[in-house]
Amino acid sequence: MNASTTLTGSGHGISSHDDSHGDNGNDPSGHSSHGLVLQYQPGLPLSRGKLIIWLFLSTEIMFFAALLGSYVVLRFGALVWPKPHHVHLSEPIGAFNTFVLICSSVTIVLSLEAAKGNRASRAKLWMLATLLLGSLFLGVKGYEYSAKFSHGIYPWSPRSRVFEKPDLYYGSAVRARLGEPEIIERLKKLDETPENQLTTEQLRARTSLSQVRKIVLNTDQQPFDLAVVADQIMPLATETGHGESGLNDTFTWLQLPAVIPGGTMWASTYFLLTGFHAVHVVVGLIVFVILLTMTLGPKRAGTIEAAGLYWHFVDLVWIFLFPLLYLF
Amino acid sequence: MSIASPQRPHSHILEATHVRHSKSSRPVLEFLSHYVFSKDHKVIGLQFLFSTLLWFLIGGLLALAVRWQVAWPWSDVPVLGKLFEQQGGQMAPEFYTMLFTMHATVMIFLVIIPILAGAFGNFLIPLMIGADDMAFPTLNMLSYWFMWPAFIAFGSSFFVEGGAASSGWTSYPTLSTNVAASPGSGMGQTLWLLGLTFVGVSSMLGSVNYMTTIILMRAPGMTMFRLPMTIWAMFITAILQAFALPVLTAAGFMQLADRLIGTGFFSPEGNIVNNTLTSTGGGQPLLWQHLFWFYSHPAVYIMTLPAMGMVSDILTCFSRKPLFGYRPMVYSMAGISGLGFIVWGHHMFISGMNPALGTTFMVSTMLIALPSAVKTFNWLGTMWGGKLQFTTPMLFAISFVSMFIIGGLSGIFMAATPVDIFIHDTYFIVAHFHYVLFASTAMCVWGAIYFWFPKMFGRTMNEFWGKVHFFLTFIFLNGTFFTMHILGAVGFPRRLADAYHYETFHHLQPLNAFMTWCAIGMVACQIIFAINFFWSIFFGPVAGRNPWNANGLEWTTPSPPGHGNFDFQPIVHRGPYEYSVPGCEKDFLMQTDPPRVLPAVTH
Repeated sequence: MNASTTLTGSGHGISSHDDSHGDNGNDPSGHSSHGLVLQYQPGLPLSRGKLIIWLFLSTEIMFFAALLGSYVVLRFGALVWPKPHHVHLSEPIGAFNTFVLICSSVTIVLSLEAAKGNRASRAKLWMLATLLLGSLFLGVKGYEYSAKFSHGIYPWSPRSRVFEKPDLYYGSAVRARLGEPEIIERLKKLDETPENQLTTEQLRARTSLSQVRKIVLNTDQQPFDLAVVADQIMPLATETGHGESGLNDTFTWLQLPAVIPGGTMWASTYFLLTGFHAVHVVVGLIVFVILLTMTLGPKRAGTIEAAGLYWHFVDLVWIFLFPLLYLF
Repeated sequence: MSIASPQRPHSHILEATHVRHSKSSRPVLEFLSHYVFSKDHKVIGLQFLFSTLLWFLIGGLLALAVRWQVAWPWSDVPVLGKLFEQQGGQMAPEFYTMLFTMHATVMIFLVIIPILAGAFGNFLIPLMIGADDMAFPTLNMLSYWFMWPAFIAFGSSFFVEGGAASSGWTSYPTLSTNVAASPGSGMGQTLWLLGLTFVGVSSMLGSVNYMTTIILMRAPGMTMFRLPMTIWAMFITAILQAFALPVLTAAGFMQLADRLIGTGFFSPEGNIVNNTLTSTGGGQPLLWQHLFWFYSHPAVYIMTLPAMGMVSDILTCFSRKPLFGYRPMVYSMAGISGLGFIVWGHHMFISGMNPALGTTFMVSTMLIALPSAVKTFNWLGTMWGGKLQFTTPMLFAISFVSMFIIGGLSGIFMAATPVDIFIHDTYFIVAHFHYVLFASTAMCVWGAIYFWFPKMFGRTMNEFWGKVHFFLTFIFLNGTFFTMHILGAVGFPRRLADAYHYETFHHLQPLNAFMTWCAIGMVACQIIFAINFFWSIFFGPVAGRNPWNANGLEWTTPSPPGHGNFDFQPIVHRGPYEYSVPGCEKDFLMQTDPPRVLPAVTH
């Protein structure tokens, strides 16, 4: 393929043919039926694989730019937006995940260096480390997702237990939950439990729970009463710190609807942004698994570099997502 | 380097690719790999061409059904009427809405964009820059095959419950996000969004491949400023596609999530559609419009720039003159695409926008008139004083220029916010974009088919019937679309199933009937084209390598070119438009002609 025919009389700087044929994604079969290998005059000193990866990443930038732009528009167009603690986001966990992802970007560079230096087994080791770090990121993300789900924050509406304000819809949703046979049974058990078997916190929660039940079952509810109900079930964080634990935290089986102003739209955007990022992480992990089946010598350096560029991009997107979602 | 002897032109398409393996133990597999799952850019280009021409027919028939209802509302629809027997042969208003939605969707996403970038881009880019194929042939094949899920999604949506999407090709919320809004807002809309996503993936794969090919695989001596205008146009179009389309893909996913999952990105709080409360709430319908038009305005140039490039090549060839102002042509094209990214708001003048923002978009929109005018004057300058040859492709190219002037001028009306507020929902807009997209781009596509047909199939199309096709189409299209300006100027509304509901418009019915007859004529005269096209593939006069005495690299290859395109190493010594060079014995100098014929002109 890499015939180095000298062209006579062209006088134009023709780079060597090896350069225009990247290592990755090239159709190895010769295209010419005449056994003729065409010479080209590349406009950039890049292999085809590297150029197309850069171009592909630029389309990806536009994709995430649209998502982030939508997030900004929706967030600043919203009347209220929940604070990170309202929606049970934990900065330390987010920061840890950021650190994990940055480390994985380092390991894939080390893998590339090892592959270039013809140390295939070491390259494979670093690649394995990248794969594990990426999987760790996904695992932590999954843990965070499940924490959201356990608080009733879902991106889809029938499952979501998040309400915008303590209105009558909210009151009837709490009543419906308290009326479920399973909950009635557990409430009965709770009421029959002798006081000495409960902690002080549980005792206090039992008192406020009976108050909530009284308000909700009363047909003549006042909006103020429902605000009290919402505060008992899930108190919102104040300026100074985390909210006190509410009924949902003390009795995790309760799973009562909660009021988080702006919480629905927050959930939509949070799961949209982190979800598409997670999809990109998964694609990266699949690429790493495929790479691990190969011998990662100098021949594969181009492929590793392309995968690395993609992985850096995935990393970079998270660098934008972390402050936007967790810190501001 | 051995230069192979020129090959005899091949008789038809099936010899377009050489069969490399002589042993034909598995003929079925071989057929599949060479003509169905081919990685050859020419075969992929032709696959795009045939698929899009088929959809062109479907889109045209949808348009006829729309015209029937506008001319003779609630009258029995011929032929199709059997489908609506439960309604007594009439079409329902929702059905009418579905018709114009799918007409626009099919024509834009399945015809114009893929026929320009997919068919001509694929076929011409490697040939015109001197490459043996695209940079990534497998990716190229995938870009065609990703069109098929889109074909299936759009096609099958006609047969699902509630019918195909009916919230306009713009798919504005809340009509599109609320499943209960209209019959087509159900499964049809979901399939529409899926189809759109697949078209997006196909375009993305195609565009990054085109850019890589043009940047890295030009023949020695083919500098960027020696590229034919077609390649410049394809290059800039690819940039537009690569950077604008992901935004629509993202927005499409968000709308899909709104519909299927129940998120609320685009539905406002407390929104009631069709007596259903959608309380997911808090979203912004205008956000969709911004995201949609951020793609769909550049898409207007995706649908025009390749045509401009091809017209430049056809005009110079048949004027036997160099292109007037090569560099200004390139810069104006870059200017159009650059400005094209910052004008999307002019589609939303009546959607509710800060007046200051509206004025900004108005000014940036008007600025586009400048590079467009540069191009128009340069085309006229190219033809001025040339030895014009009125071949069929030339007639189509000239009609492109003249129709583009009409469509461009009516565009300036719309760019002005106060004027737009009056004409935005009238037929004036319909007239405008049909002049740009049909009268300009589609006419150019026909011209390009006549022009490059010899290269595609090794035979030429019939000139006489080509001219008959041109004149009939030209007359009928102006009969159909020019009249729309008049309708729009008096306020005849678009998108209404029966505008005669308002007494003001009663007197316009005869005009509408006239337009519908013209539209029927326009579709009918495409039969001439179809017969000419298919007859010429098999029985047309055999064409040599360079039937038009043109300059581009593609005319140095055999017709049709074999697998690998070139049977010699092309080395480029000059720009693509050196026609009628003084002191030269022939009136064209091909890009490969060695400099001893005449000193190479450096740009």
